[in-house]
Amino acid sequence: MSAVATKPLLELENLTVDYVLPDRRVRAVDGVSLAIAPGEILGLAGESGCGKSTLASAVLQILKPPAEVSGGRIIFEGQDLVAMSRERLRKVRWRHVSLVFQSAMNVLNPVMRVGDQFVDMYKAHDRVHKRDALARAGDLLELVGIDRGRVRSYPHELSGGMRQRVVIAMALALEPELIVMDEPTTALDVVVQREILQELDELKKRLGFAVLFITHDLSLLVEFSDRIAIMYAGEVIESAPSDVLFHHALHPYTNGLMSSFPPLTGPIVPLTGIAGSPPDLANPPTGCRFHPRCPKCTGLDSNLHRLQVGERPVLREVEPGHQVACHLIEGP
Amino acid sequence: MSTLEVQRLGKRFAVRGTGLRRETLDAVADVSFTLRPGNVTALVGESGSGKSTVARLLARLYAPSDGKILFDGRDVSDQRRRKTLLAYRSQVQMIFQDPFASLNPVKRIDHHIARPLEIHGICSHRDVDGRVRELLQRVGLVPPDEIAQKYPHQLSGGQRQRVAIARALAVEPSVILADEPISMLDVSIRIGILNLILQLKRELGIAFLYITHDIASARYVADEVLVMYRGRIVEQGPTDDVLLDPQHAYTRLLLSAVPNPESGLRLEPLVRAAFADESSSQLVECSPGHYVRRPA
Repeated sequence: MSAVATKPLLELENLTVDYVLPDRRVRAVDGVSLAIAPGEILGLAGESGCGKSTLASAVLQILKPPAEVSGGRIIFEGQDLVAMSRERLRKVRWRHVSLVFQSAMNVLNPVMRVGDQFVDMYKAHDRVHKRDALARAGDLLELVGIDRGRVRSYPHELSGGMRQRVVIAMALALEPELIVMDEPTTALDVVVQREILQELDELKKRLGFAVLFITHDLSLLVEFSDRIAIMYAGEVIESAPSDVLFHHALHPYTNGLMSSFPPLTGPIVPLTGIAGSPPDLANPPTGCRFHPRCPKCTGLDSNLHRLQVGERPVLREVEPGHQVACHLIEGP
Repeated sequence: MSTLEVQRLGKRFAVRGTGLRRETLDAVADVSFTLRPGNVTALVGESGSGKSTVARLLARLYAPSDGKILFDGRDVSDQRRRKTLLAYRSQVQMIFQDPFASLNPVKRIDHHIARPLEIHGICSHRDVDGRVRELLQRVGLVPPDEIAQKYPHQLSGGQRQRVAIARALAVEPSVILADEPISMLDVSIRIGILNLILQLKRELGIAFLYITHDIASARYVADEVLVMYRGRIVEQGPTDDVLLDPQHAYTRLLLSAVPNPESGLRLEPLVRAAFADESSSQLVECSPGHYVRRPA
C-alpha cells in the first residue's frame, strides 16, 4: 500500500503544539510522529478537540497565537518548516503545500468574481499576465468539473459544493506536492461529498499529489486513504494501512469508532458507540488518556489497571506498518 | 398518546416579485404520512429537499399553503388562536441541529428545563427542581445535580443535545420532531443520541420524526422511511423494504453515497434531469405499505 521504502515527502517528528495561556499551557498536539510518502493519502481521524486541526495549521506554519510549536520538527522535502524564515515559508506555502479548510466555501471573497480570485492568487506567486491567469483558472475549474464560464461568477452564485470545488481547484493551481485537507467535505451533502471525493481520487491519480486528509468520519477514510492514523487527546494512538485498520484495528478507541456506524445491510444490532465525552485537553486524564472511556479498563486486573491509569502507553509497531499505543497490546 | 397525520401538505414560498409578477417556489408539495405513537419515522434527503420545511410546518412555525395537519383527527393547519397553538406546540416539540445555538449561554442547564415547566404549568413551583433532575436523569445526564448547575459551554455537544431533548420532554409531548439531531455531533457520540431516541419511543410511546441526510442512521432508528427529493416524497414505506429494496433512482443514489469500505468509491450514476419534473407524477404502491413515485 504505502511506499515505505521511498523517502517521505512530509515527516512530523515528535511534533508538539501548545496553546500558551496566561496561567498555563494546554498541549493540543503531543509528540506526534507521522510520515507521508509522495502521492500517498494519509487519513487522520479523531473527535473534535483531539488536536487534528491544530496539527493541520502547524504543518502549514499558520498557527496563530496563543498556539505555538513547542517541540519537534516538520520536515518537508528535507527542510524543517518550523525553523524556516517567513520569507522562505511564503515560497513553500501554496506552491508546495496547500490547504483546504472545512469552511472553505467561506474563504472566497464574496465581492470578487471567482476568476479574479485566481488572478490574485497567481500574482502573489508568479509574474503572470491577467489574461493567462484567467485562462488557467478556467482550465482548473474544468478540472474539478465546473464550467469554465464560471470564472465570471460571484461566489454567491455557486452552490456550496461548487464553491468547495473552486477552493480545491485553487489548492491545485500551483501543482503542490502536498495538499492538507481539513474536513473538506463535512459541510456538504452526502451525494456532493461523494462526487467530490471521487473527483479528488481521479485528480490524485492524474497529478500525483499527496494528501493529508483530516476528518472525524472514519468510514470515509477507510475507502479513500492509503493509510490511517487515529488521534485521541493530542496523540496518535494507532496507525496502519487502511485495509489493515478496517479488518484488524487493535486499539479499543479505534474499535469504538468503527462500531459507531450503523450498517446499511444485514441485521441491525444495538450499537454502543463510545461512552463519555472527549477529554478536556487542559486537564487530560492520567495514564492512558482513553482509560476513563475505555471498555477494556475494568479494574479487574489490578496490575493492568495501575498501568492504565498511571502510565502513558507508547506507540509501538505490532506488525510492519501497524502501530498501536495501548497497554493491552503486547509488542512483537 | 396521540397521532399526527399529514395529508397532501404543501408550502409555497414567494421567491421574487410582487402581485401578478410574483414567482413562487413549491418547497413542499403533496406530502402525506402519519406519525404513530411509539414509532420513529425517518425523513431523508439532501439539503434543499424540503425536509426541514416539513418539520417547520408540523411545528406550526410556518402555516401550510395546502393540505391538512391532523392531530388526533383534528385539523390544526389553520388554527391561529394563541391558546390552541400553545397547546398544540406543547404536544409537538422540536429538537434542532445545532445544540450550541439552541441553549442560552448565560443560563444554567436547570433554567432551560425549568422554563417550559413553568410556562406550560406542568408542575407546581415546589416540584420544579425535582422534575428537572428526573428529566436530566432520563436523558442520561448524570449526576443530575451536578449537570443542572453547569452552563452550556461546560458540556460537550452530545450532552448539550441531551439537554435539548430533556427540554422537549419537559412538556410531556406526544410527538418530537428531530431535525438533524446528530449531524453536528462527533461520530462516537451519535449512536448514544440515537439509542436515546429508541429508548424514549419505547418507554414513553413518543412518536418521532427523525430528519436526516444520513441514511444509515435512519435505518438504525426508524420503523418507516420517507425519501424526499425536491419537495416531494419519492419513496416511502417500512424501513427495510425501502432501504434494502429501493425502487426509486434517487433512493438508490442516496444509498450509494454512504461510505462503504467493501465497495470502494463508486456512486450510482444519476441522471438528475430524468426525474426533474415530478409535478404530474404520483405515488404508486409497489408492495404492501411501500410506495414509489412514478410518472403519471
